[in-house]
Amino acid sequence: MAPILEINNLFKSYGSVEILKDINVAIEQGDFLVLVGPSGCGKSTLLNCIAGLEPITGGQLSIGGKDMTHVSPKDRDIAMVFQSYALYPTMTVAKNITFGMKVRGVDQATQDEKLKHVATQLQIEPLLNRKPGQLSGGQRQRVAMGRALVRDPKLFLFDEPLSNLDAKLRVEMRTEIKALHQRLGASMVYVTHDQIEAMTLATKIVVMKGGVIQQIGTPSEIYNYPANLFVADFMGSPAMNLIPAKTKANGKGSKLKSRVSPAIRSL
Amino acid sequence: MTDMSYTSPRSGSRMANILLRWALYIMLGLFALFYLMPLFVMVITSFKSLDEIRTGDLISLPREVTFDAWRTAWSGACTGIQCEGVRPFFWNSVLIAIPAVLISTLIGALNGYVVAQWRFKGANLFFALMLFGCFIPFQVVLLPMARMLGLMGMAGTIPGLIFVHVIYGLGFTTLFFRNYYVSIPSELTKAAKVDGAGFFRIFWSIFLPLSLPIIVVTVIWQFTQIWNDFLFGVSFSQAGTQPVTVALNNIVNSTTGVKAYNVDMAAAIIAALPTLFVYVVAGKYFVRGLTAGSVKG
Repeated sequence: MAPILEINNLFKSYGSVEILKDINVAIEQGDFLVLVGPSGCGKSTLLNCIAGLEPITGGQLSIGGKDMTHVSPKDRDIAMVFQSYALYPTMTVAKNITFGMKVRGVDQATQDEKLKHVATQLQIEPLLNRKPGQLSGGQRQRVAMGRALVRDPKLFLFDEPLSNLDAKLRVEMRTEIKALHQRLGASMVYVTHDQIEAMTLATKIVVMKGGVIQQIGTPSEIYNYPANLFVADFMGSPAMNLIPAKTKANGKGSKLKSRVSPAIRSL
Repeated sequence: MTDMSYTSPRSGSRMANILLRWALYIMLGLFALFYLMPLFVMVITSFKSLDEIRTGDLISLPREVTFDAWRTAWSGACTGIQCEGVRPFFWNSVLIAIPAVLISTLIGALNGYVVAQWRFKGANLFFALMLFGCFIPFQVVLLPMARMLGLMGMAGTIPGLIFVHVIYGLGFTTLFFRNYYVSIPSELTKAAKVDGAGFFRIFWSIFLPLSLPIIVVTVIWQFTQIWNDFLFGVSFSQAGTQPVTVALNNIVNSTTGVKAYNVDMAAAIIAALPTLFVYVVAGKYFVRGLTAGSVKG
C-alpha cells in the first residue's frame, strides 16, 4: 500500500530565507509521526505545508497516494487541531463541530448523527450548546479534537495541541490522544517541542533543527542510537552526558584513546 | 488627589480633600453648563414666538410655548424661492446617508478583512495608501470629483452624492475594520480553511458575527460624517437633491427682512437630531468598540 503521507525533497523559503531544506518523510497508514525540535526549527512550518496553508517552494507532497503539492487545504482530506484551538467564537460547540460538514453540504441527519457520535466519544455532550468563551481550556481542547474527529479524514494534523494546558491536564490529554490513535487506527502528524510527548506518543519521530531533519526513527531508535550530537543532547531527560574524547581505529570499530581522566574512566 | 493628602497629613487633610473634591465638581459643572448653553438657547428660542424673542431675554424660558416655528421649519420655511421647509431636504439626506453608510461599511469590512487576514504582496502599501486617503482634504478632490461625476453622468444626482461619500469614507472604514480584524488570531482563518470554507464563507460566517462593536463604531462615524457634510453636498447637488445641511444654510442666509430666529433654531435642531439619535441609541457600543481590539482576551 502506498504511504499515507509522502514528502519528497520539500523546500520552503520566505524570500531569501530558507526555512525547510530538503525534507523527506513518509509514513504508513496508522502511524503516529511526531515532529520535534527546538523552537524556530521549522516544524510548525512543515505542518502548515502539509496542511496546504503555506505554499511550498520546491519538492513534492502526496497524501493517501495522491499528489497534493498544489491542492488547496479543503481538498486534502485532512483535519487540524491548533495550539490556540481556534474555535469559532460566535458559534456554539455543536456548530463549531458541524461547521466543516455544513460548508461541504452534508445533509442535516448525517451531521446530527456524527455530532452525537463524536460528542459521546469525547464526553462533551453537556457542552454542545455553550459558546467557546464559556469553556475551560481542557474543554476547548476537547471541542477542537471533536471538530477534527468528526471529519473522519485520511490524516490528522496537531500543532502543539497541549502546550496551553496545565501540567496535569496535559498528561491526561496525552493519554487520551494516544488511546484515540490506537482505537481509530488513524494516521497522525503531531508537532511538539516537548520530548516527553514525542517519546510517549510517537510510532515514528522526526527530530529537526534549523530546517533540516536530523534523524528519523522510532522512539527507541532515537533514544538508544542518536544519529548525531544534537539528537543525543536534545532527547532524554535528564540529558545525556557528553564528554569530549579521542578515538583511534581498532580493527573494525574504534577505541577510545586512553587520555580520559581517571574520574570518568571509573564511571 | 492623592498628593494633597501627602502635603498635609494632619487633621486638616480630610477637610481639604473634601473642599478640593467640591471645587472640582463645581468647576466641571460650570464647564458642562457652558457647553450646554448654546443647545439650551436653541431649544428655548425655537419654542418662542418672534414677538417674544424681540422683547424678551435670550436665556429666559418662553412665556408661552409655541410649536409654530417647528412647523414652519419642517414644512414652510423658504430656501430661496422654494417654501417647503427642510422636509424634502431632510429626506434627501436620509436617501444619501443610509445607502452611503451601509455600502461604505460593508466594503470597509471586506477591505479590512483582506488586509488583515489575507496578506498579499503589497498589502502594507495598499493599506498605507488607503490611510493616506483619510488625510486628503475635501477641497483637493472637489474639481476632479466633479469631472468624474460628470463623465459618469451622475452629476447633481443623489446616487452621485452616495458615490462620493462611499469613496471618501472607505479610508476610514477600512482602517477601523483592519485594526479590529488584525487582533483576531490567524489560526481562526486557517482552521476555517481546513474545514473547507472559502474567502466569502469565512468572512460571512466567522468574521462578520464577531464584528458588532466595530460595525457600530463605523456606522456612527460614517453617519455623522455624511449627515453633517456640507461641502460635498453644496458642490455636487442641484435643486431637488440638496441635503439638509445645505437647506439649513439657505433658510438662514436667504431670508430677507426680519430674521426668524425661532425658525432657524428649529431647523438647525431638526437637522442635528438624527446624528444625536444615532449616538444616543448606539453610543455605549461606541466607546466599547473603539477599545475592543486592545482588551480582547
